[in-house]
Amino acid sequence: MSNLLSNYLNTPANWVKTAHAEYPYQVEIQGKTWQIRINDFPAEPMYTLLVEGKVIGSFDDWSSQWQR
Amino acid sequence: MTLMNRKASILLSFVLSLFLSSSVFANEAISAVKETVAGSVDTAKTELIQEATEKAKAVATEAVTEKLVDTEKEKTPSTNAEIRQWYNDQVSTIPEQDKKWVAEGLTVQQRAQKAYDIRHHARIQAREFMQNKEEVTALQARDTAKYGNPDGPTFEYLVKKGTSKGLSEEEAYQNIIGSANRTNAAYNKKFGVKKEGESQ
Repeated sequence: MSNLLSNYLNTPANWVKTAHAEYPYQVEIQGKTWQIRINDFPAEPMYTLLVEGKVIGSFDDWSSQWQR
Repeated sequence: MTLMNRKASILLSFVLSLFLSSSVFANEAISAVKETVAGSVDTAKTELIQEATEKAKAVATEAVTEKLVDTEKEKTPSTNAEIRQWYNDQVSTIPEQDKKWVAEGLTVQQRAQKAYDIRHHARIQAREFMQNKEEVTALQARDTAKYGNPDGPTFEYLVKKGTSKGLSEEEAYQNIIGSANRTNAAYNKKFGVKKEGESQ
């Protein structure tokens, strides 16, 4: 796992549920939009984190620092 | 012969015949008793053997069940990362199995269906392993939106997807056999998810 993704995963966030099945969570942090994409798990990683539409990285298990 | 002797002779004959009759009857009775006793012993033996067999079966079944439960506990993945690892182990058997299917003379369509079944069942089982049921619901919602099916793409969907991209049916089937074992290689490499048989 990249240091960049680890930093995001360790940043506390209160995610808000969206109506979009593929992008079910979103949050605004320091003026930037974070999004969670759900992938074709288990063939693919469970989640992908995007910030301002840019892919930061993918991971399987939800961060304990994040509330949803 | 005197009258007296004749009477005695008749009486003797009568007593003798009575004795012989009773003797035959007694022998028959003894044989019948013997058969009954032997039958009872056989029945008792059979019942004892059946009882012992049932007890042995119950003990063996309990032992095997406990062992299976223990093995299942040891093998059951719990985190999503472990579940992905388990899934990869399941689908990584497909290439070897496909070689057998080819040797058995299965058509490419039959092989594609079998490969799809392995992947699909592993997908369903993986979701059953997941501890967080909200995540399962989210995956089902995503699959419904994407494939029109909460359990992921159907076999027909994948064939249609292949042919709509310009593949022939045979190529679409071949693609399914290949894709049944295709996972996110980059992610696996990055996060150390290994396929069965890879060194740790």
